[in-house]
Amino acid sequence: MRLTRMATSMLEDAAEAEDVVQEAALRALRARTRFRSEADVCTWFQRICINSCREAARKRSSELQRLDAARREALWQAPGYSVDPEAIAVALEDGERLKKAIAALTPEQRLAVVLHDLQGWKAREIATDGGLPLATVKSHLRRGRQALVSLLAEAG
Amino acid sequence: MGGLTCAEARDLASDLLDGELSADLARRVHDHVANCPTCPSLYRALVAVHQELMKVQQADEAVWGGGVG
Repeated sequence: MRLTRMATSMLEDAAEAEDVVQEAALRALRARTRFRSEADVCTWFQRICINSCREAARKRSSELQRLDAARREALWQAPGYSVDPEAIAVALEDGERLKKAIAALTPEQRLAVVLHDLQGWKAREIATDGGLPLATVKSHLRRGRQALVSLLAEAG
Repeated sequence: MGGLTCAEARDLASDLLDGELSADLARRVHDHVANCPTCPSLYRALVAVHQELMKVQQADEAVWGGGVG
């Protein structure tokens, strides 16, 4: 099921993703009287799943993960920082390494990267959906992409 | 207008990948990358990661179609 795949990308845990999608289905059932018939039911349910993933990821995110993210962000501010693009190209040949790198992002960065770069959402749609300023979403996307480069370089 | 710093060019590179920069800003990013000792490798790496994510997205759409479910 595509939603389970999306949830797995966001949470990097297939079992947790299945639980979250099931929980989202129960939420949708409970909230069905609030569903407006003019809306698309698939989009409505997808939104419930995304919100459930967002909550699950936030609960799970650790202080250590935030410190790592801050360290990587500082690297990209340093003029002397660089990586070996050949090593990145080799790392990208292994899909598992990209998955692991996505899993190591902060929940906010992961949500922006997964929805924008893997699901094809516009940054404006992510901002509206999450009730966030567009600039914040773009910042999460930018930092997320930079962090993926650093994580793939570090893993080499 | 002065040249971009490394941090500025690296941040703007993400918007450049999405085609969201004005022609002037895009040129300034390219100018910086062309003349910087460290940014070209970071830029190449960002492009490679972005292209890989796009490939995964396209493969996903090919298998599952555009809808949800």
